[in-house]
Amino acid sequence: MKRTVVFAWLILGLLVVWVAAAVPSETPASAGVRLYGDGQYDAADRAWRQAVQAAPGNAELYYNLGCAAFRRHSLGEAMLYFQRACWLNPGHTDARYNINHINRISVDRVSQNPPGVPQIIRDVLVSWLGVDGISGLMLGVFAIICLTGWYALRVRDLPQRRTAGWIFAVTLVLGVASAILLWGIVVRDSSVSEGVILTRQQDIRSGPSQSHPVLFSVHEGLVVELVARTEGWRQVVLPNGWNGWIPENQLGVVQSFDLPVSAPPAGKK
Amino acid sequence: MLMGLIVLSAMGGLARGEGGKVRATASADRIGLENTVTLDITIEGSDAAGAEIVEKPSAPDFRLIGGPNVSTQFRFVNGRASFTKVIAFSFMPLKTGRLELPPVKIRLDGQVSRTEPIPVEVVAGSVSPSSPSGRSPFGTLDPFDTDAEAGTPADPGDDLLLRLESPGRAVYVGQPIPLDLVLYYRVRIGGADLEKEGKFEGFWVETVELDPRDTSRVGRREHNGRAYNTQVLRRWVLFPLRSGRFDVDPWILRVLVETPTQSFFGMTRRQVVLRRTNSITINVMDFPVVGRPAAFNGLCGRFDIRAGLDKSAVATGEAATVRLIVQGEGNLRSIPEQKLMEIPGCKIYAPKVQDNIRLEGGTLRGSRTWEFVVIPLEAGMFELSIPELSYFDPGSQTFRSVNSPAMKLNATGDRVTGTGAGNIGGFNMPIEMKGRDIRHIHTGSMLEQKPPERLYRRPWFLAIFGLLVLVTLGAVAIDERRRYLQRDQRSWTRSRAAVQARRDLRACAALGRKGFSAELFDGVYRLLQNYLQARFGINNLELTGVRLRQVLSSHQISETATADLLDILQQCERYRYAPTVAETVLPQELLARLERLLRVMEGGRP
Repeated sequence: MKRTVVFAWLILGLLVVWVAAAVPSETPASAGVRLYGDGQYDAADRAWRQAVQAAPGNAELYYNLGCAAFRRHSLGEAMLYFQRACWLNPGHTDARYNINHINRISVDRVSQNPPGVPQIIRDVLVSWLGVDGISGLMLGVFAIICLTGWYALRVRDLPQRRTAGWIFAVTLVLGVASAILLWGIVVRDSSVSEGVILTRQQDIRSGPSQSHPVLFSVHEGLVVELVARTEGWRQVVLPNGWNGWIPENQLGVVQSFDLPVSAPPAGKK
Repeated sequence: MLMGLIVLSAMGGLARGEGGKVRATASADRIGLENTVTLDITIEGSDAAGAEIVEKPSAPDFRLIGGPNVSTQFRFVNGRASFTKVIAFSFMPLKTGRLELPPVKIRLDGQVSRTEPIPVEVVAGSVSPSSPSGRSPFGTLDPFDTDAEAGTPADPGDDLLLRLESPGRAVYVGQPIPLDLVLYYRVRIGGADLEKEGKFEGFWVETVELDPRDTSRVGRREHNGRAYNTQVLRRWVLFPLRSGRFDVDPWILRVLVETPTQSFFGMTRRQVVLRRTNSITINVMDFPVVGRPAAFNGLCGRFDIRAGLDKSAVATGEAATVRLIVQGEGNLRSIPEQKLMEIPGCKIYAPKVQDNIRLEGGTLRGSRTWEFVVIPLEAGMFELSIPELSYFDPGSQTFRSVNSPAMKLNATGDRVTGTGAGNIGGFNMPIEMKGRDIRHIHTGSMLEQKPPERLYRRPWFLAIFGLLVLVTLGAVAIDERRRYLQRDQRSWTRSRAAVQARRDLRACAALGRKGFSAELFDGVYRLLQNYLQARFGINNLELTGVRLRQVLSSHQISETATADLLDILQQCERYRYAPTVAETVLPQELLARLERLLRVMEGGRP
C-alpha cells in the first residue's frame, strides 16, 4: 500500500513537470510585443532590453526598441536604436525608413554632401543581398573563377577555350566587384564610429571641459562621427564638418551593444 | 524783415528765466489737417552753440514727423558779432481744433529752460500758411540763394495736396469701390515717396497695377475752384467685408518741392514737405432684408451661370465631366463653392476649380470654373442639376437668382460593384497621404534568434578560399605535368616504368620482410619483366641474354648493369625452377642489388 502511494506521488510529480514544460512560457521579446500593442511603451522597452541582453546582436530587437523610444517621444534614443539596427543589418529597410522619418521631424538640419554613386550602389546591394549574401556571392564567384580558369588552361579546343575565357573574365569582374564591396563593408564595420545625440539640446564645446566656450548647440537625434576620446568627453564631427566636444554620457554609440539609460517622462506611455 | 520779427515775437513763446535768449516759434498759427507745422527753437547769444535739446517734444494732438534739424548763423553787424542757433521740429496734426504745440526743454550753460506751448488752430482740409515765417525744417539747399536772408522757403500750402478719391461713398457689402491716391500740385515736384501707408480695415483690397507709361494717370483737375496738375500714385478696388462706417486710414507722402530762385546761377531751391490724405469715410450698407432669397450667400455684382456635359452617353464606370462656369463682375472671389446635386447610383468627385479673374474698370470681372467628374455606377438616365445662384445687384438694388438647366446623362452597361472609393472603370485617382508615422515593430521568431556571426568573420570562410586556390593550382600543376610528359613519349614511358618498378619494389620489400620465399623471386622476376617491357619494349619471349644485351646497349645501359640484370634474372629463374640447387641468397641483398640496378638504369649513380 505504501509503495503504491509513493508510486502515485511520483507519477503525479512527473505529470506536473511535463505539463509545466509543455505550456509555452512568454519570452521577454514576445512580452515586449504584447506590451507595445497595449500601448505600454515603457514596459515594452524594459522587456526588449532584457531580451537584447541575451541576444545582443539581434537587429530586430534594436528596431523594436527604437519604435518604443519613438512612441515615448525620445527621438535621440529612437535614432540610436534604428541606426544600430542598420549597423547590424545594413539591409534593414524599415529601420532606414524610420531614420528618414525622424530626420524629417528632428530639429537640426545639417547640410551634408549627397551620397556618391559607389555608396548608393553599396547600399542598394547590401539592402538587396545582405552582408552574408554578398559574402556567399563572393565565395561562389571565386569558385567559378577557379573552375573556369583551370578549364581554360586545360582545354585544347579553341572555341571551348574562348568560351571558358569569357566566363572567366566575367566572373573575374564580378569577383573583384564583390570583393571591393565586401572590403568596404568590413572596413566600415571595423573603423567607422558614430554617435547619436540623446539630450533634447546639447552644447558642443571647443574642448573637453565645461570651461571651454560653447561653439554651437545640437539637438536629439543628430548623428555625429566620433573622432577622439578623453576622460568623459568625446570629440564629434557633424556631417557638415563642424567639430567639437561633448560629454560622453550625452550621446549613444551606434557601433556598440551598450544600452543608454532610459528615463521616460513620468505619466507618458 | 521787420514785419516778420514782429509776427514772430507775437507768435512765439519765450523761455522762462532766459529773457530773449531762447525763443520758440511756429511756422503757422492756422493750418489744415492735411498740412504740417514747424516748431523752431531759436537760441541767440555767444554761447548759443552749446545749446542742446534735453528731450524730444511730444504732444497728444500732434505727431512728430521730423527733427531736430539744426542750423546756425553768425552775423557781424556794425562791429558787433551775433550768433543764432535754430532747432526745428516738424509736426502733423492728428485732429482739428485749437491745439497746442508742445513745449521743448533746452539745456544752455548747464541750465535747463522750457519754452512755452504755442497754440495752433487746425481746421479740416488744407489751408495756405497764415504766417510769413512758415518754412521747412529741412532748410534750403542753395548756398547762394538770395532769399536766404528772409529764412527758409514757405510751405507750398494749398498748392500741393494729397487726396484719396473715390466715385462713391455709400456701397453695399461686397460691392467694389475704386479708390485712387492722387497728388494735386501747382508747384514743381522733384520727387515723392511714401512716409506712411494707410490701412484699409474692414475691406478686402485688390491693388491695381499701374502702368508707368499710362498717360491717363497724369492730367489736370479742378479742386475748390483751382486748377491743379494731378498724378494718380496708387489705385485700389476695395470690397467691404461688413456693414458700417469706415474711416480710411490716412496716407502720408514726402514730397520734394523745387522752387526757382533769383540767384545769379538760376538754381532752384528744394524743400521736402509732408502731405497727408484727406479724411474719407465710406458707408457700407447691409443688404435689404426684404426679398432676400434663402440661397443668398453675400454675392454682390452681376453674374451668370452655365453648365455643360462633355458627353451625354457613357458606359457604367466611365467618367463624364460637368463644366460649371460662373461669370460676371463683382466680388467674384467670394463665389461660394458650387456643388452638383447628389444622385443615387452616380459617383460625383470633388471638383477642380479654375479662375480667370482680372481687375478691370474698378471691379473684378471674369469667370470661375468648376469641373466635376461624374461616374455612373449603374445603367439609367441621370439628371444632373446645379443649385441656384443668388446675388445682389447694386445697380438695380434687387436680389436676382440665376440657374442653368439640368443635364441628362445616359449610362448603359452592368452595374459597377464596390463602394466607388477606389478605381472604377479605369478612372485613376491619386492616393492622398493623410499622415506620416514610423513603421510598425517586427514580431515573430526572429526576435528570439541569436544572430550568427557574419559569414566573412568565420574561419572556414577564409579556409575555403585557400582550399579553392590550392585545389586549382594542384589541378593545373598535374595537368601541366601530364602534358609535359605526353609531349615526350619516351620520357613518359620511362617515367611510367620507373613508377611501376618502384611500386613493385615496395611490394617485393614487403615479401622480403616475411623471409626467403618463392614469391619473392617470383615478384622480382615479374618486376624486371614488366620494367623491361615498359621501358625498352622487350616482351617476355624476347627475354634472352643476347636480345637483352643488344637492346640495352642500344639504350646506353652499361655492360656491368646488363650483367647484373642477367645475373638477377638467372638467380630468380633458378630459384623458381630449381630451388634445391639454387644458391642461398639473402632477400635484403637481392632487393638492394635490384634497387641499385634500377637506379643505374634510370640514369642515376650505382
